[in-house]
Amino acid sequence: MRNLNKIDVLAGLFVLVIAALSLFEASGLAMGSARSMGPGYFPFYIGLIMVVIGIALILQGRRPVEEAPEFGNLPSARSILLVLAAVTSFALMIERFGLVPATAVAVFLGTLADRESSLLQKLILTIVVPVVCVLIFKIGLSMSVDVFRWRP
Amino acid sequence: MMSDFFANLSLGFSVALSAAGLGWCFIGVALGTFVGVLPGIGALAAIALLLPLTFGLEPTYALIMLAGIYYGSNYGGGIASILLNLPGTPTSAVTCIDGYPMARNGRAGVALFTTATASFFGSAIGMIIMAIFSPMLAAAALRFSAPEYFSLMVLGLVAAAMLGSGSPFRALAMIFFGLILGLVGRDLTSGLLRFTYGVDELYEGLPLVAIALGIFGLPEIIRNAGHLQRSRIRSKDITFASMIPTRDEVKRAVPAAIRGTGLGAFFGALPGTGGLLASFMSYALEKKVSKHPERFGKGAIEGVAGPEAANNSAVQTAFIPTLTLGIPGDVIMAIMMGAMIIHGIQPGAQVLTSHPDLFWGLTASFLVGNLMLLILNIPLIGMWVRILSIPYSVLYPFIIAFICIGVYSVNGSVVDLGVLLFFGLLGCVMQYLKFEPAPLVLGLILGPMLEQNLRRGLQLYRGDYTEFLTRPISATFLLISLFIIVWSFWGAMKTRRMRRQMRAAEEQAAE
Repeated sequence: MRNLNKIDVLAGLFVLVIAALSLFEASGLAMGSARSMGPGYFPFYIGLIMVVIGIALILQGRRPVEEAPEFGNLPSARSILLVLAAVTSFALMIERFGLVPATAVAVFLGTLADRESSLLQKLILTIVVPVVCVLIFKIGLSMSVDVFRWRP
Repeated sequence: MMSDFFANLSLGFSVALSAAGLGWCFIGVALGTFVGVLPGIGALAAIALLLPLTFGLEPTYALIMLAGIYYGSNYGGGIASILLNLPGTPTSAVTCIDGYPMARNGRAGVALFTTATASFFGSAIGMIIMAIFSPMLAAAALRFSAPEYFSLMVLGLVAAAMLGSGSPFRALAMIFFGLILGLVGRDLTSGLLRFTYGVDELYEGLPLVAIALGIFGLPEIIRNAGHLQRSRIRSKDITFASMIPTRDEVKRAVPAAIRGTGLGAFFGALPGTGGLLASFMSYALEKKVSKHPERFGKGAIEGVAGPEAANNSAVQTAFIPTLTLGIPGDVIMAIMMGAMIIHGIQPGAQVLTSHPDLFWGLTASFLVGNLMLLILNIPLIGMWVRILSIPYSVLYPFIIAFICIGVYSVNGSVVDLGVLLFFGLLGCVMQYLKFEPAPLVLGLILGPMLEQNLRRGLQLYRGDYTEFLTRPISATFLLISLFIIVWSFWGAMKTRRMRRQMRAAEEQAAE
């Protein structure tokens, strides 16, 4: 059984992408010399080193191995999307509608990631968490944020 | 020398025992124990999450509280390990090996008592070592020039990243990625914006709290949501009376705690090793010196006392290089350092002279905080046990809300929430590709200082790189770094070869 080590190849490509970003950014900045380093000096050399590391990872991955290596565990797409959607909704709502609506929507989206809990539990959390947050952050820590606000 | 020692400590205790010092220390250790006990929040995410709360405080009290959260979470992690066999923090994984069997043998109370007292002993000694050695180290560091600092940072990065688990190529890649992320924002010399891609709000650099919570906090929630189940524990079993150990148990635990403290104090101060390695080594040592090694894994009290003492003394001595040299030994110390920078204090040798009240106040607060933990953990253990039984499905919506509000509250900026989102996604991708986030965060925090010292060093010596290799101290640091890199690549190769040989042997046996 001979397999290519796909995960190392992908990881190497990932490193090369970052290296390319760094080199591209450095190309728009003055390099300077070793004696007086410009803003592009450090990113340029880091980019170069990362190219070497990326290629090394790819070469390591192209060497045949006995067993196909496992990828790191990827959580279910559902959890990823819902948790990230929760943060996104909070970011979109906090300055438009205030603390309570933003938190409530984020919490409700977040609870959907858990399939075990009942709808009732999700709804209770959607009400309780924003109340607790107002108590802690607004009343306890006097954070400067509106509890409710209407600026869509 | 000796009179200095007492003068410094009395200054420290005057800060730590002031009303504000005591108050913030208590809040820190109580919150730390709380999050340490809770499932699915590591010490790092906890510190990042609670960091915004300290912004209104004076830097000294902020650091006292943050440090309290850190060592408090170790105590909490120990409780979860012993009662549930679920280590709340990676370092308490060792405590599980014998702590959980002790609990199953009906000795849960004794195991908890041992954890608390051994931890207290370890950290008290660690604190004394810190008080003695920090001024010496700081005095030596005052003679360092830019090349020495550059090489020392290289060593710190290499040691912390490569001595962890995982592939050396991947660790190196993450260090460099972190260095790039550290460059985001305004270049100090030219004033130009770098890597901001039109988002001018990032001119001050990437927001640390958003990054730490994005890369450590969000993936943790994503992974555990709907999966982490809690088992039930009977809190009635753990009473105050059940915590008193027998004379035989005391006789076995005390020397183990002393040996563990020594190991922890030594490894804690080295970059890249810290509490995890110290507690594993202490466990191995106890098993070796024991007359009854067969008892280990089945509830040997030495296996709890040694590693817990080692871990906590390492936690204290880890502050030595962080505070006196500005070199964090691990990622939690890096976050601590980031917190100091946010509070306007540049860690390094000058902290002792320019902010003596901060340094000695923090040092003295370790003793005060650990004493509080002893009180919190022994009589009030029942309360923590009840917190242990909060199900994750109730807990994580709170964490999501706290993360969002915490990140937003730092600068009151939606851009920071964007950074949180970006790093959350990046964290998931990195997990998939088996990249570890810790070297990235270390690189990110040390990046700007690394560039600055390289630039200053090259300027001082007219662009001559050999200066970094010929100055004896700088050369020593670089040589050790090189040795660590070579050694970890060699180690990775050896394990691969061994695995191949084992497989070949298995195939032969099958035929």
